Amino acid sequence: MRRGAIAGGAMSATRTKQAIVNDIVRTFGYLPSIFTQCGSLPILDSMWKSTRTAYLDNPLPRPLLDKLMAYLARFCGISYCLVVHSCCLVKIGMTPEEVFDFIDLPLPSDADMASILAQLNEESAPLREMPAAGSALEAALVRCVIGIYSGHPLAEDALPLLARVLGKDRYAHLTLFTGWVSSLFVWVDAHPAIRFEDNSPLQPALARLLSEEPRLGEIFAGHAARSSRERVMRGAQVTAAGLLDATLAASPVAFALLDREKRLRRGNPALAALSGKTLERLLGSSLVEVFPESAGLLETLASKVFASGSPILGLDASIRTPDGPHDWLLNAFAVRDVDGSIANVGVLITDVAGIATDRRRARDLARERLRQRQWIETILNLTPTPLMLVDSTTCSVSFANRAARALAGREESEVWSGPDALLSRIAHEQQLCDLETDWPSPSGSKTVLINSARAPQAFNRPETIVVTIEDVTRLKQIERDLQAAVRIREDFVAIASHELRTPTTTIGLQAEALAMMAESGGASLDPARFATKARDIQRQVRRLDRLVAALLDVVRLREVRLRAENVDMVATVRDVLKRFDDDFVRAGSKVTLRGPLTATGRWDRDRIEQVVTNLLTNAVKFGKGKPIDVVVETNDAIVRLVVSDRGVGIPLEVQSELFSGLERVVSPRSYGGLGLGLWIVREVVKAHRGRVAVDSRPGAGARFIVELPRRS
Amino acid sequence: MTSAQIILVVDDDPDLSEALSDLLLMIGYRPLQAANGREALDLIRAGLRPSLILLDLMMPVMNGWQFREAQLQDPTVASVPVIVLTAAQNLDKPIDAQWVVLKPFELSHLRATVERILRS
Repeated sequence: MRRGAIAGGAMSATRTKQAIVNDIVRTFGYLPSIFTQCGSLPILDSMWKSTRTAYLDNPLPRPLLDKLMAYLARFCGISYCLVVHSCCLVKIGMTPEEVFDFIDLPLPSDADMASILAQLNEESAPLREMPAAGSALEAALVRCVIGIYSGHPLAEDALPLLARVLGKDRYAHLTLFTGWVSSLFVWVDAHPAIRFEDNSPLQPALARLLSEEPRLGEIFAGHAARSSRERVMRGAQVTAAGLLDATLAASPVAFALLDREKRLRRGNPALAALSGKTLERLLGSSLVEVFPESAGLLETLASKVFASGSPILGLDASIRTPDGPHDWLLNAFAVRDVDGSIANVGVLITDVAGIATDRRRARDLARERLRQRQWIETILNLTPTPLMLVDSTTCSVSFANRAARALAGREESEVWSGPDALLSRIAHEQQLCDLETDWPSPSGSKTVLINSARAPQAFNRPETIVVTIEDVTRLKQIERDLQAAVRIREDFVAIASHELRTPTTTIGLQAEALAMMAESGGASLDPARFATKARDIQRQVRRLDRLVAALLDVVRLREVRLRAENVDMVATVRDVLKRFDDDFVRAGSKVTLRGPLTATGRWDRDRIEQVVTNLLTNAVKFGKGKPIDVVVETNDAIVRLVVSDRGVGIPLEVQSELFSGLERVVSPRSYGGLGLGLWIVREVVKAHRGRVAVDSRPGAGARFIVELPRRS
Repeated sequence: MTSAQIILVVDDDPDLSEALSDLLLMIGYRPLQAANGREALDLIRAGLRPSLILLDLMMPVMNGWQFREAQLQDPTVASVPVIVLTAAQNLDKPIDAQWVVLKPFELSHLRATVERILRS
């Protein structure tokens, strides 16, 4: 007994699995596949009990529960629930089309929810009895529950209202039911083995649904994707709402959302700061409380937007805030419900004064930068050295100062005027130091020294290469002139020493000969030989004297101005011939003069005499004792003197150097012995603005031609 | 006198050339004169074999440097000793010669050099 009593007790407290399965089959007419996965007895038992309590024994009307279950099945990721519960709707008498319309309803919008709450609000609470199937109240209740279940923002308002309308007991059964539905979905989600096909008694209902309303087939087929999409969208709405809140909270622009009664529904910290009150205190209050002194203006603005639906943008207004009146920029716009009706008006209030100040500051800063740039450019333009700034990234000129533009002979300040190869060298090398190069310019190529250095990136400017272009063309010319002058001086010294030392050596030798003759006595003391030697010495001294005078002339040529007077060239030649008659006779050269009676010009007499002397002594020296011809010709403008010998002549390469430009004097090495004579001739003729030329062939003598303007 | 050694004086200045020749004659040599390097070269190529050449540098037609160059290229006379007579400033351009006597010089100095060369 005792044992049997125990066994009997156990039997009555926990029934066997089979007994429960029998119970379920008896209730539904088959075993719904959700119960097939329960495994152990306690789970099957618990699940069956909860099904009974929440659903089968629930006092709320079965159609209401079936409709809720079918619609909420959208939130289950597996189509099993939606299909099974759609079939259940057929069993409670809905046509396939009604099932489709119901299942396909979108989630309640804000406006839906507001109107549902308004409808429920009008019902006497609690309801004396539950609404009939298909009634408007039933629909409202279903939609309200769906709104709450899907997390609508008005769920907080909806829950207490629902409790009030249904009454405590029915509200408790409703929440028990939705809780059971949720757990059921989790159960189905967790057991992929649960298949609709196992619920064979529902097959005829499904067949009817699909045949009469093909759109349901699409809904069932696309359920998984739709369910996941709706989940994402719900998440996105939440995210968007959060983003909007965060944006409004951080915005320096004040925001006010007003309802038709011009009460503040939403705001942000900037609005609170503007009004000087906390946001919590402002929400729900009228505009007069927000901006006591400027409420009228804002109310008018909101009313206009409510009336027209069009936004009013960029309205300048003065609003009195706790700090005093300020200028603001107002933008008001309608916020519409899904049905297009204007639910609210949003107003954005921007501090114009702040923007204006910022703009002014930015403008001042830009102007200041421009002035600084102009100041720097002015300084660079006043710098006499040509200078360019080169952008190292683009390898292009960003500025060229006035001197650089003048060097290039062009006005553009952003053009590279030098050789292209140089620009790329500047861009590639860290710096250039005194690079000497040619630089094209309108007045011919210049010699320049290039220096470059890099200024680091700063003030929004890229790394800049500062390039200076120093025109050293003149310096280089002076350097060349100086080198030439040094060479002339060296040549002069060489010629002078040669010319002076020849007679001094001769005098020394002749004196020594005299001494030897005197010392040896006897026959050597021939008075005639003695006298000849003495005269030779005398002649050498005269020669030396002339040389010294010539050398002094060379020096004086540079310093003393010409003393112009009337000079007759013919007479001058005659005088010189007379003076040096001895020398000509000694050299054996016969000199012939041809010309007019007179040939006068305004010249320096001593210098012209020197020219004639030098040309004649040269002719004698190199004339090899052959005849020398002197010809004087004249016309209105010039007097021409031609001295020709028939001696050794002058090599061609020497001729080209004889009277070549600048300060070149013939090299003593290539034309030794010619001496200073021709050099002096050239200088004197040049000083008289005349010209001198030579015509000669080696071995066939030389012809020197001097032309002097009659009034030089 | 026929046994006297020949000394060729090459100088474009006839006064100096003559004075020097007079003295060389007085001290027992047989001087010959050439007015420039070309004349000297012509004499040598005609068969003249001097014992010594006294050479000026700055001369027309063919200067001392050019003469010396031509002389050294001619094996028959390359070995004839040469004394260059010149002013110091003209030696900027080097001359390929063993002896140089600077102008102005004294006969005693030139004579000593000549005798030393001819002895060796």
